[in-house]
Amino acid sequence: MSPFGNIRDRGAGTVEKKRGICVDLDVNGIHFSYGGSPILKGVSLKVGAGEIMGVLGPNGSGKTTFIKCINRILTPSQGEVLLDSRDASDISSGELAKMIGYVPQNASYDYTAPNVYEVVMMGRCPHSMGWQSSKADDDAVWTCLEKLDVDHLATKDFSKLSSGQSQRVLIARALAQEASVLLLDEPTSNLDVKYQLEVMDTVKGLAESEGNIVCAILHDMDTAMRYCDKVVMLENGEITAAGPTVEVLTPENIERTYGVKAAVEFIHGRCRVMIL
Amino acid sequence: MFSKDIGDLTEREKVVRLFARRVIFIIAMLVVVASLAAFSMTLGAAKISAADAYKGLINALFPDAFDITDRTVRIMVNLRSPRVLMAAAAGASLAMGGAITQAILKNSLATPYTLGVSAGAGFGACLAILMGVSITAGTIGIITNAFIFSMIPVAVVIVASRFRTMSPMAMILCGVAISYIFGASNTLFQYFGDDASVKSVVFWTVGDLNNVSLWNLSYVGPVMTAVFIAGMLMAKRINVLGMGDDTAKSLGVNVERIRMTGLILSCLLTATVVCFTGTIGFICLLSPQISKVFVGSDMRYLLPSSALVGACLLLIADMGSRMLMSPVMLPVGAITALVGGPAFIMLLFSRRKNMTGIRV
Ligand SMILES: Nc1ncnc2c1ncn2[C@@H]1O[C@H](COP(=O)(O)OP(=O)(O)OP(=O)(O)O)[C@@H](O)[C@H]1O
Ligand SMILES: [Mg+2]
Repeated sequence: MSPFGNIRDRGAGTVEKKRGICVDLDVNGIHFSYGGSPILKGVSLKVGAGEIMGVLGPNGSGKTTFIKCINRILTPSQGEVLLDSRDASDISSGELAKMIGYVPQNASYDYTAPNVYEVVMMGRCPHSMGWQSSKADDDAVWTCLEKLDVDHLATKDFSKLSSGQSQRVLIARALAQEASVLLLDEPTSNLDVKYQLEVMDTVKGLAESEGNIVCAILHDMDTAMRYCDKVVMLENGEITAAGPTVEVLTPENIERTYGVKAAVEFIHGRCRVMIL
Repeated sequence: MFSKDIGDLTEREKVVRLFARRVIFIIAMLVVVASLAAFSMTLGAAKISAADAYKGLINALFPDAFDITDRTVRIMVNLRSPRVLMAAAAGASLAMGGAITQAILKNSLATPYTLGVSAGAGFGACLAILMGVSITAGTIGIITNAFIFSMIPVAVVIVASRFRTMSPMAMILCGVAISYIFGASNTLFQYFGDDASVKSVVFWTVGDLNNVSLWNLSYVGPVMTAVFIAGMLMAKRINVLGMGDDTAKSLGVNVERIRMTGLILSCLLTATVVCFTGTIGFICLLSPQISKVFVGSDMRYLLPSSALVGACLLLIADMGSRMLMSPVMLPVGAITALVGGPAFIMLLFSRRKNMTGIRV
């Protein structure tokens, strides 16, 4: 049964290890609880350079919590996060921010009202904490603004953008971090069809050309099928299925996890997930 | 560069222009503050002409440069220049304290005053004046007491956060609670104090520039400069903090450390001013808000412009307090609160929505 085989022949090993770039993310047995009952009960995954890992699961299953444990926004009570076999807890937060870029699920701006340019410039923070921003920072910011097609919003107030616009700005900020690991928390949830494809194409392009490691929380299974090399299914803080996308996103797994009937079919050159 | 119509500008040019506007605002405010200070030097109860006033100042630095009476020189050195310089320095310091606290606690109401600095200082002064409890006697004793007690609320916050992580709101509420405790104790002491001392306590709690002297500035000046430099170095991190603690952490900012450092620095600066001048209200609340309208919320620009706006406001208030009922000098703290209150309400209701400064 191998119509599925041909979409996975792109080897992750082709990407050479560059200096200072992380090529291997290894998460082992993460446990976490917000004080009360446990939210994560021993979650593990392994992603290599150039791979896109999809994290799927129902609402409240702990996906966001898990991603936050990877870049130590939250500190797991047990388990370890290894970046090229270095324990993340031994890496200073400044250095970690150079290695891991993060797109939060929701845009949050608590008090200040920066404009779009300033928000993306914040992504340069890990590289230049000093007072002034350099020309190189400025160029990097404009490159990312253009990549995400938000350069025309540069002077607009960030708090006054539409959800989709602000989501693209946050992705631009994460790209401006120039980190080799990208953690994306539902990066396409507010985007229209065109931008869903464009954003995911950009991410995939980065993974292929730069060898970035991508971990993306996705709700749309067809997007996962289209872009992810591997997928994990998270349910109640436990991984219920993991492996190559086509092996995990089966009608049985989908029905068991979400309780909806789905079909996976090979049409127009790739596998597609259809909710019935 | 400014002749082009906004519609013709590319996005890059717009951004450059935006930053240029901020720098221009800061330079303009520098000029305004300098002119106000210079003008303020010529005002006063003593009849001294403007030219003589400046000659007196120059003579103080280079004796015998001009032919001016000793009395003029003494008035300029002992009365006017301390007052004017302190008005500028205190205004700038209070405003910077406000700007930093508001940003790190992400709340427009959060100022060193709401955190209990002023109530602490008032209590410390009250202890010295009414109870005679102080390290040394006299004015110095009152000042040291005010300083020590004004740092107590922030000390409590620091100790508490050793045991559990405190949210910004918890810190604010903690400060407010301590303010009430100090305030109530103050009232109780006054209840039992004699008339003369009570009057001096009340007088002390309303901020006032009548009793400042030049040596006060040798404390305020260095602390102000140090906090300004530290604030500018932390500015980018403070900006990131405004996007939420999670985002700040993911961008490599040590959230707890920045928040604590900012809190300590702004309270220290405010305490240094308050122990010499008493509680001068509203500068710390108003200046950052006014500046925001012009330079946005980027701390790298907000901090210097708040400082300058604060200096400007207090210089004006001080001139008002001297001239309104001349030769009676009103306490400047009363003026700032009386004028600052309505001004703040106006700002609240008419706040220009476009904070970025470019009208598109
Ligand atoms: N700050 C918090 N304090 C306490 N409990 C929390 C907190 N944040 C999340 N939780 C709980 O942890 C569980 C997992 O939340 P999480 O945000 O990781 O879910 P998720 O998988 O990302 O869901 P969604 O698909 O809705 O984004 C939920 O039950 C939630 O109620
Ligand atoms: Mg989530």
